Amino acid sequence: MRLMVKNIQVSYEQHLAVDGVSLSVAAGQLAVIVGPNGCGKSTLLRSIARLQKPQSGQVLVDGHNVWQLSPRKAAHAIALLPQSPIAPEGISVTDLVRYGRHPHQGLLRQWSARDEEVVNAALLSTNTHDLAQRPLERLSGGQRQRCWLAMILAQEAPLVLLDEPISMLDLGHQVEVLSLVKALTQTGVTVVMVLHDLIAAARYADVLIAMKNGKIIANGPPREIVSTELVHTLYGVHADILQAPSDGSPVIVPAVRPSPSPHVNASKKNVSKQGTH
Amino acid sequence: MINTPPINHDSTVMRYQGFSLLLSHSALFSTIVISLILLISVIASLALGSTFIPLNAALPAIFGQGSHSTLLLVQEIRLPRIFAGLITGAALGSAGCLIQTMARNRLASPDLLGINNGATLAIILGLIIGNILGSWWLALIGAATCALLIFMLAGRWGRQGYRVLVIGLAIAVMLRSVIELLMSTVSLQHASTLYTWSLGSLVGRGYSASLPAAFGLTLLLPAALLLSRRLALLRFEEDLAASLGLNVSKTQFFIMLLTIGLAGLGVTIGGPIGFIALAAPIIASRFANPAHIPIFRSALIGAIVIICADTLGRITNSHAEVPVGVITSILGGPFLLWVLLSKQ
Amino acid sequence: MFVSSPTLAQLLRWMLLLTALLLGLAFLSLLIGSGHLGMKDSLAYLAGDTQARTNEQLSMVIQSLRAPRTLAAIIVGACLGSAGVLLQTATRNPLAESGLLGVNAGAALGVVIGISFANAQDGYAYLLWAFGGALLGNGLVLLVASRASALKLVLAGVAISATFQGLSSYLLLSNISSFDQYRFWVLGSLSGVSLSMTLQLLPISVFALLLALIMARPLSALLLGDDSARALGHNPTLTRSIIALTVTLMSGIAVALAGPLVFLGIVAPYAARHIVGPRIASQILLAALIGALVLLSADILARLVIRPFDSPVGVILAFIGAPFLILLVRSSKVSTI
Repeated sequence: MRLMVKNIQVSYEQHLAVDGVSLSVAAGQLAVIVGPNGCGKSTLLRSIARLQKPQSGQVLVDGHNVWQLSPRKAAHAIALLPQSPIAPEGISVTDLVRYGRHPHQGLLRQWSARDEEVVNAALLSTNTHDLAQRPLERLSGGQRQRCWLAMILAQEAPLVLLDEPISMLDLGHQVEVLSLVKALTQTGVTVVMVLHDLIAAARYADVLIAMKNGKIIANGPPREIVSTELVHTLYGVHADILQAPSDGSPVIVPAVRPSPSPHVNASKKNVSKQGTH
Repeated sequence: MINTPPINHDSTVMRYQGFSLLLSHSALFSTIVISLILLISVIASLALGSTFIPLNAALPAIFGQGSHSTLLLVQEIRLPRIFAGLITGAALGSAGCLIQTMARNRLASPDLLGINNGATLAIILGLIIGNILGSWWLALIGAATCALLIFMLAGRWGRQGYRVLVIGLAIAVMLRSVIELLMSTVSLQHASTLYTWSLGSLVGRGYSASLPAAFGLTLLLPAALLLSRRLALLRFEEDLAASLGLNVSKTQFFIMLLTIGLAGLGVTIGGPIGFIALAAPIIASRFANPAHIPIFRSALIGAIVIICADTLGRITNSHAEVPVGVITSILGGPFLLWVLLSKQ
Repeated sequence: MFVSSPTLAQLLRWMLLLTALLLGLAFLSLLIGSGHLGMKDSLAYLAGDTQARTNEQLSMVIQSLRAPRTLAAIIVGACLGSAGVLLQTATRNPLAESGLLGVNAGAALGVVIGISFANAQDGYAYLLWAFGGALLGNGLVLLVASRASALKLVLAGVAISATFQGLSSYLLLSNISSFDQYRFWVLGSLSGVSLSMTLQLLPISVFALLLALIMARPLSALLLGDDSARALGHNPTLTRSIIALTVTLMSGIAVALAGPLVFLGIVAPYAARHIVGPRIASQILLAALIGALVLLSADILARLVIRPFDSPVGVILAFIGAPFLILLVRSSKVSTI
């Protein structure tokens, strides 16, 4: 599914969070939106997900304006996994994944053969089949995230949006989840992901979209756009860019400051002052 | 291909052409068990009271056989009262289930939101201004007006309904004060009737009071059951529910409408009986799979609790009956504490 | 109002202002009543007019009805206001107050039990029973507070209140004589409060207030967390226990005099915080003054609203407190708990 965002402006709590953003993601691509805190990346994702209406501009999936779709039709096309999602108490993994089929079900279409097939396949491909009957809340962070992904997979939407899917996970689980996502794109699903981890983004993305202050400042394959200047513009940090030996994708190595900055000396002075309060 | 156990090993799927129905075994089983318990409580309630009627006399009396006095007691007094209790309990139990699910908070309940007080106030005003007592639609109007007020003030539902709950609380207290104020100025004759009513009581509640409400229940309860699929999605955060295809605000609106309607029905017969709407869904959830929303079971359990509480009220005190509302308030506190303290 | 803690001078200025206001209101309270006696006569009485002074009805009303009522309002308001500061700080919950959390309802239940079964008559007896009931309520609150979020605590408190009220109703219902006598008190009312009871409880309330002020410093340490408090030399468990006892005592005094009141413990501390900043001792002092002011005004209103009847002051408070609470929740400051 092709995603096209045309010049959208989105305000959030009287503040212009997304200012004139346009982008385009082809089917089967993994696009990652990065940027410093408050740059508007989550708002952008929510606008694409039909949760936040832009004041101007359009969001088109395969040429259709998402805001002209009914919620049910939209759910057939777009699936969103919010950051740190909450599940109903005590629910089992299977029950969670089954909810993914909701857009395809109805009052008299409660559990078709296809529903069963899809849920089974989702559990298998996320390697959560052996966790199926266990309560979600007893699982580890990495396992839980895979179950959430299984639910998203069960929805069978050609466009998947993920908001910070790896922020609470350790390295092993991060790699696990990101590999799953990458494998998903290889089946033709378009994925747009928000990550605050630039390093992971540079390694996995097909298209990297860098945002700052509500605007896109760079957009393209990581190989082409990841540079020392970009990292500095985004985060104010100096970094060297290396090439991964396996596939040549950019590896960002932030520099460790060799000398104390002027700020450190000033704060030392303040400490002694505070003692007299 | 790994041999996978069927996903719904605990349910039966019935398919026909494009349609399919899913029947959970546990839901069916627990519903049957709860219904049996209800039946037992009804029978007990028929027999027990200030006059004890043995079962071999009470049961035939339902069908019109037996001594005149037994028939009078059973058919004119106890049976209508039990019926009233059934309807009230079912309405309150299901209303509580709806609101607890929507607020994602087990402590959310129409009594706490002041909807009960709104209904009571409307009835009191009706009595004072127009000398009408017990009009079923009055309670409904009061409940609806109160709910409307709360939502206008709260603006949006907010995270976990925090705003709505606190504002509801404030309004509940305020309405309670108005009620108490009016009761302190009203004539003594009205005051005692009103006071007992305001405590929540099924005394003298005949079919004239409960049939309109029963009719309302037959409309609203199935509507709630039809919406239960969508209600289930509301347990996720709004973003996720919307992404799964739910029209969140529309669903919330209809669920609230049903909740108000059911809570209003619950108040109209016996007055503001507290704790049923809080306790019934919590008890029901112990019988149910966490993935299901036990609306019908909450209704059944609400009925059980009211009938048992009413029976208790009739047998504890030898001088006078204790109004069912007082019993439920007294039992409700320890129950609530147990709920709060037994988790985690 | 103040960005940082005000200086001692500013605090004193506020206290002077509020005390003056309070005295003015107290004077007004002696003048106004729901009965048929006009203000002119009352004014004459207070001015020392001999003719007025010999009027028996006038003396009775002013001495036995209005004076104790005024004094009681000040005591109750001060107790509930400062208890509110203690509870809110200790539970870190802007909605915590002894009324909403069921402590007052527990105290009321205690008094009802005392009246029904132990023939409690004088101020000390009332206080004893109220204290016992408040202790139970407070105990439950602390039990729940350790396991529940702030919102759940408040909801639980309301439910606990309802239980205590139910029990009170049950006891009152089965005892017809006490029902009629206490029907209004159980709603929260200062009408008919006796001078002797008020005078008996006055020194105890002063003691409770002093206790609260002494606990101000340990309480602020508690805000930093138990470990930090210990590092500073305090004993968190002891602190909490003493605070709980103080709140219970204040709640007991308030309920013994005026029955269970709601909302005062939210309004007064909130106003105090806004005027005086985060210093707990200052908050306690100001909340006591503001609480007394609010309650006294509410009581004066209670005498005027449905003249010639007295309305329960709890009702008036509800009309002040509920909109206040609603505005509080709507403002963004409290929207995330």
